[in-house]
Amino acid sequence: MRVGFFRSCCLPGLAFLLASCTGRPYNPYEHNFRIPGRPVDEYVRVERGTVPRLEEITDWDRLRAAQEEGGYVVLGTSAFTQTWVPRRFALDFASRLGASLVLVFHHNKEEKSRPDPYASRFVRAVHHRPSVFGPVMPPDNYSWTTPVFPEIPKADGNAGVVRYQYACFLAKRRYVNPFGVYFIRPESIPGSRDTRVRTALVVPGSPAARQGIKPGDPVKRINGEMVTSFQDVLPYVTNRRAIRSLEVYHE
Amino acid sequence: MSRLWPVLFLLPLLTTGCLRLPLGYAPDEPPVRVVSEGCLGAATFSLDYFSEGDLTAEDGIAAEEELETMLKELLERSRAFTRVKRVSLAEKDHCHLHFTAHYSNVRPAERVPVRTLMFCSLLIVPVWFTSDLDFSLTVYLDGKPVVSPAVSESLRNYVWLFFFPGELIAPRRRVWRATESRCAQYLINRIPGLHPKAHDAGLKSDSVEKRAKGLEKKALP
Repeated sequence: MRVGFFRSCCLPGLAFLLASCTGRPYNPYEHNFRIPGRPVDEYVRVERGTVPRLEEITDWDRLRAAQEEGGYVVLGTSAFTQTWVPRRFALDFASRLGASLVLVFHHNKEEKSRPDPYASRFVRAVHHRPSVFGPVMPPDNYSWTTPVFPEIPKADGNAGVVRYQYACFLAKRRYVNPFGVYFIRPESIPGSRDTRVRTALVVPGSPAARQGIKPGDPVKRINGEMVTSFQDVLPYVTNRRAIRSLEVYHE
Repeated sequence: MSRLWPVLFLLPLLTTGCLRLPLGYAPDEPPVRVVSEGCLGAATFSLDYFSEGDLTAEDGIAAEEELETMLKELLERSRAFTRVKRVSLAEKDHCHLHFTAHYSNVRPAERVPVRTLMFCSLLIVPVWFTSDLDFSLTVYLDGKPVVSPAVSESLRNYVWLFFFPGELIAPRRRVWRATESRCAQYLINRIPGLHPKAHDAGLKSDSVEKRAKGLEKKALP
């Protein structure tokens, strides 16, 4: 009888538990992730299973400084409102991306006009443009509401409080550009239909900055050669060729 | 088998049948050895405490006062400060440490099926849920934020009838206290000026640290 009970209850339970360890849970950060298509060879990918460093930021200067001085590249960003999303989800996703640093930012805002959080069944997920063109804030032309997070927001002690959470996934650049300019693929700019390669980051004090090149400028010529696609820029991104002169379109 | 059923009914009432395992997001670090005793002078600290998802002190998490006491002990044990005092964020001193602890439990959408399955099956079918702690520290020097390391740790709670000795082996309070202490120690180790090698694991060219030291921005050649 005991063997029967063991077989009927214990073994299936054990199998159920083991199966739980293999499954990958739903990760909301992954769902809200933006900027796909960052070339892997552009950054140093950390080993799978390494827990990335987590940092809370209080202003967006920290993100800019990490890019300009820390040599970090933004792999993507995520944003949420309404519910608290534990940071372990961000760490999990960053680990899969190969990111070594996660910058998180959150602020709470009193919203007296909607005191009942159960009024909204779905979380409003705001997608926002990449941070390379400035602060990670949702611009007016690139935000929408989507029911991607089917859960009821929590109300315990937080009625009428709306949380805004952002996460930026960063990795160390593989190549340091002596000219002080980094580029972004046109398809990595959400909402943009422009196919021109643009400058993503200009290091202050660098030769590029001294030439008056600004982040977001469309690239016209590098070393006198016309740039038509990101393939033309790749040798300069990977430091196989050095940039001597850079010409951009002034908009 | 007929004798076993009353036991099966009573067991969930007598024990919780819960085994808690930390998922290992927060590294276990020993306290760093300080440059010199009291090198950072007097400091104040404040604590923002949030708990949601029905997570209370009964579940083993530290109450705000307990967490405050633990942080004070850890800061004093670091021997980097001559005096540590809790104040509100508005009353911060020259050197101020602002901790934020955010506990969150399993999401409501997952909680209902978990509880239903748990009670309906009398813990015969194993269920699990995860509780999270998001802990962050912002170091203020002269009123300006300098560094803000953060750490996250999760506890996976496996609830199953056959885990009834789990509460005896690893009581919830002890598991949570160990987790909180590990997270707090990780954050305290990252206070700038505590030890010259305190930040080696992270960014070497942390601009915030440079700004704190009054160094100029370095441009690429």
